Amino acid sequence: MRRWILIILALALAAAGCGQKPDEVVEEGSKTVDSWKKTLEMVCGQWVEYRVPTLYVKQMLKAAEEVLGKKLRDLEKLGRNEEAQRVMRKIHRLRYWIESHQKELGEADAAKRREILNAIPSDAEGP
Amino acid sequence: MKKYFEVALGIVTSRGGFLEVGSMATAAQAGAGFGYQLLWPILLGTICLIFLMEMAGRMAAICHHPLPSAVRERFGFNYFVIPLVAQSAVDFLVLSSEVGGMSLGLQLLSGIGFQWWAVPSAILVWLLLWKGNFSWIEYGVSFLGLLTVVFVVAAVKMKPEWVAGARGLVPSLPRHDKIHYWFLAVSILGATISPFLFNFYSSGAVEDEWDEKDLGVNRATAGFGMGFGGLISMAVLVAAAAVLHPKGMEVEKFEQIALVVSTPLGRWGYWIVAAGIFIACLGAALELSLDAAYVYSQCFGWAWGENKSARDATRFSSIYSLFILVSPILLLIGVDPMKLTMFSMALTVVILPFVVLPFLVLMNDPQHVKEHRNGRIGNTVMFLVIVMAAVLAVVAIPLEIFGGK
Repeated sequence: MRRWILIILALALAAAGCGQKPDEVVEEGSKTVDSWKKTLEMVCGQWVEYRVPTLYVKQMLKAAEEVLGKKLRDLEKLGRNEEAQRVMRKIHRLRYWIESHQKELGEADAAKRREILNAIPSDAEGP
Repeated sequence: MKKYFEVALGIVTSRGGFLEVGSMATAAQAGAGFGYQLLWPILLGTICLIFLMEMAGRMAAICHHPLPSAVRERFGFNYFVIPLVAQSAVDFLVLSSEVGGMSLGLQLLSGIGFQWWAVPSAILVWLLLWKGNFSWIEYGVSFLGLLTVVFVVAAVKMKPEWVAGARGLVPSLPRHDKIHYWFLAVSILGATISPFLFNFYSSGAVEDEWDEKDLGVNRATAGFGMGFGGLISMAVLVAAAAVLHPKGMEVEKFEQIALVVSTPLGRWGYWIVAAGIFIACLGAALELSLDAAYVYSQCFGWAWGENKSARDATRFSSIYSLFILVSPILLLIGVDPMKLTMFSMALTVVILPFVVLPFLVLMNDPQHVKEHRNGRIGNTVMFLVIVMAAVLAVVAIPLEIFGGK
């Protein structure tokens, strides 16, 4: 019995010590930001066509902000890793878009909705 | 005619606990991440569950003992403590996830954050159990839960790739993210073969006073009811595979699940799926709370039954009240409902061998099931479930650590 407890403890310690490699953190961050950009494009696309209510768009923006904020903190821990910096810039651009438009959603008419959708940053933008 | 009606009711109600926050979250993540490739764990889990539910119902009808009570009687208290403790922990986590699912459904409907809904959702579960009776809860919530059929409509409307879907029913190796793939496969099996389902089902059969005459109804209910639940779970995966996977979108937040319905069905689809998520999770939360109370009461020999008043079954009512009382705590301290759900589903697999192994013995014991013992096919399926559950129990925690997102 004691041997099993020791094995389980050793496995748990090994698992706790095995943090993600920097490459994996960057790859995951990159996937997440791309996935959320597409999610927001899809949600806003449906919102422009009045296929989803504004309250849903607000929730999705909030959810995206939360997830992206967490990824940003993970990437910041990698220091001056060039790839990490590139992904962080993408996250910053998307978060900036979220922050800029979050409060305008309630009163947006059809034209404003389209303007908000078109303002979602493309991958090519920025430094 | 009455028999057909009973079977129809049984199908609708037994589907009630099947589709809940865990099956929706795991199926949506699987569809978004791996397309149709992970349909096979849903099929495998559903087949196993059909057999286990039929056996649980058969045992209840023949010996008038639900599963926990029969295990306690046959193996004694010292053995029963192990599954009791393990199941209490899993019931608490899964119940918290279901309250989280209800809260997220209300968030989708109202726009108010899910944390604000955690306590009102728990109070609603408690009130329904305290004031309602078994049939009222079973039929009312299950009929409203039919709203989740909207996932089937969405899946069909998205014109999925049927050939790829059919290929997904056969197990295959992942082409990328191997650990996450296996983590999802284990979580789907955990979400599908939930021990609370067959405990609840057998206790319900005793409450409904089933006997040998009901064996046909039991077989039809287990087969079609679980098959129906499995079909809706598959529809969630297929819709996610058709809507999210082609664009490379992952499901990291529960709110994203509404997209798989709003994309093909628009605004009305959004409102129905939001209400459906709330009702499906409410149904599962009711069943889980009752399951916890059934297991404790049957273990300690207390008076039990949802048809009894709180005064007549004080300790039974106290147990579900206690579980419901603590269920919103994890959500209130900021645990993400999606992460909580995925963790709970993987953990469910860990307790499976403790529940299914004694079940195999009981289903071959003439003292319990008389001449209605398991045949060769039933025993083979149970043996395979035990082997699979043992393997999954060993790999579930490492996969949770390395493959959970």
